Amino acid sequence: MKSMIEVQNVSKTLNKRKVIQNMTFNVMKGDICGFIGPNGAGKTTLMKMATGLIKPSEGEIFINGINVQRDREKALFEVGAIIEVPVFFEYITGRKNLRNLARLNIGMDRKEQLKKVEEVLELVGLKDRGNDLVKNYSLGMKQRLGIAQSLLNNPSIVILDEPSNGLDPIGMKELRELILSLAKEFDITFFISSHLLDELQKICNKYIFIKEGCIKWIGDVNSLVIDKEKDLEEVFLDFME
Amino acid sequence: MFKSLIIYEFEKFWFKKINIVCLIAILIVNFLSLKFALQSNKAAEMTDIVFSSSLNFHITSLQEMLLTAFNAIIITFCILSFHEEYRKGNLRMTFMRGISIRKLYIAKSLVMNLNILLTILIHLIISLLIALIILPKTSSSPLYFKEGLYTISDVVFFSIRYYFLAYLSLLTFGSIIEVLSIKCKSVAGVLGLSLGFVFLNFIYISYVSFLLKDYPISDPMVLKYNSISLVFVQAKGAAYFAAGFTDVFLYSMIIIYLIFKSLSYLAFTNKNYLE
Ligand SMILES: Nc1ncnc2c1ncn2[C@@H]1O[C@H](COP(=O)(O)OP(=O)(O)O)[C@@H](O)[C@H]1O
Ligand SMILES: [Mg+2]
Repeated sequence: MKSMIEVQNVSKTLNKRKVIQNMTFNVMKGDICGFIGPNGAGKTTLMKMATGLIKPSEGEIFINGINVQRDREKALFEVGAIIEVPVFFEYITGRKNLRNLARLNIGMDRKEQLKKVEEVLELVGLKDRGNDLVKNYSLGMKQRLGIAQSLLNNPSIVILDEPSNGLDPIGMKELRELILSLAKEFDITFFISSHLLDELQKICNKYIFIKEGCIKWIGDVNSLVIDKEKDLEEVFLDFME
Repeated sequence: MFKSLIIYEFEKFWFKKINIVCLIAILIVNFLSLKFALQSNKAAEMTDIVFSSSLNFHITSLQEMLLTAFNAIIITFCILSFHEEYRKGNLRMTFMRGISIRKLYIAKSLVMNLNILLTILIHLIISLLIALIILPKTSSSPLYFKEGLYTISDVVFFSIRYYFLAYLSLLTFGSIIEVLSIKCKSVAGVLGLSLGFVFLNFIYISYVSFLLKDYPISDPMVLKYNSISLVFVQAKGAAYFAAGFTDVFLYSMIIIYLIFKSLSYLAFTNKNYLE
């Protein structure tokens, strides 16, 4: 099996404080990997390093076998991501925002880019609302537009930072179904963070629990010894003690 | 890749309604300038430098507006293009793509320079039209810092030089605001420091004139010291340059532009985005 995200002994110091401490893990092809830890655990920081936004103080990160820090452009070529919240131009329509971002798909001609925009709008269910201004979108719609944005470059890996934040149960269900279908149809590997084991995390086949910048537990869902009713949430809380 | 990045940046500039408002505001600014010109024409002779005619209104109006309206437009452009996009997280989606951040910065700068050029050209066209339609037509006109009256060919030559240095001063001012835009955490911070910068310039100019009060104002040494001040260059330096007095203002603008552009480039391409 192929390793899509490879984090090797990564540490990050911010303001003289070690926010990430010597993390090592792999996300394999086909995984839907949950990256879970309380607020301030370092999830966003690690994801920023994985997407080249900031660089590790120590250690290395490889995506698709390519070193993100050394060969940024190539490593990120097949990565789509939302880090923190997606920020769009509010007074422009969702479709126009995407058409503008699609210009960053280097090597795709304009016709293909425009086709891609329609395709991703359809995928996230925003085709009918594509001509509305982003400022009139609900939080859930903005989140879906963010996911549409992350799919523009035909990614093989999608990194989502707390995508379920602010979603209502229906929005959560839709997001879960969207991720599952993308994983299946387009063979996309997902790396998804959350500060709690919400509904969304139940679609993961692998978990990484972190706290205060350290990995507490890594494993697939089957290796967690779970009573039928003592659910993941409690196991997670146990690990966080 | 570079062409796509330029179009990408260009589109974003036109997405912003405030940028378009700025360009429309030039029309209003010109009419204010015209009102002013008609007033001062009443009390002036045709041979006075303050007399606005069809031949020189495009120069006098820019002279009036460069320091105020145009700098305000530059601050607006920079805050929207650099501060808002960089600080508010809009560029995060761009930085995560497999594109070169270095090329992105160059594209952004080119688009900015192009739009500033457009701004000043719009001013030129509007002021020429207004002058032709409304102001008295003359065949010769006085020019700043030059003796006598000049015909159209001299005025064209003077105008090209004047507009060129005015443009360069706006790029330079922009490069300074760019650095502030990237570094400051809030719009209020950028605005405050920008105004502070202009204020410091005034203090510097009065300090220089105090220190060198025994020298005539157009003494090369006085001009050299004043050339460091962007505000002086905009208020007087551009006209000195256009009149062929000295090139020191040209060099100082280029040097300051390069220094702040480098700082801005380093801040923008920092390995840690918004750490
Ligand atoms: N720019 C920064 N400067 C200093 N400390 C930071 C910065 N960003 C985040 N931190 C700190 O790093 C820790 C991890 O933050 P973060 O990665 O955002 O956590 P999470 O996403 O898991 O909630 C927190 O304690 C936070 O205060
Ligand atoms: Mg976070």
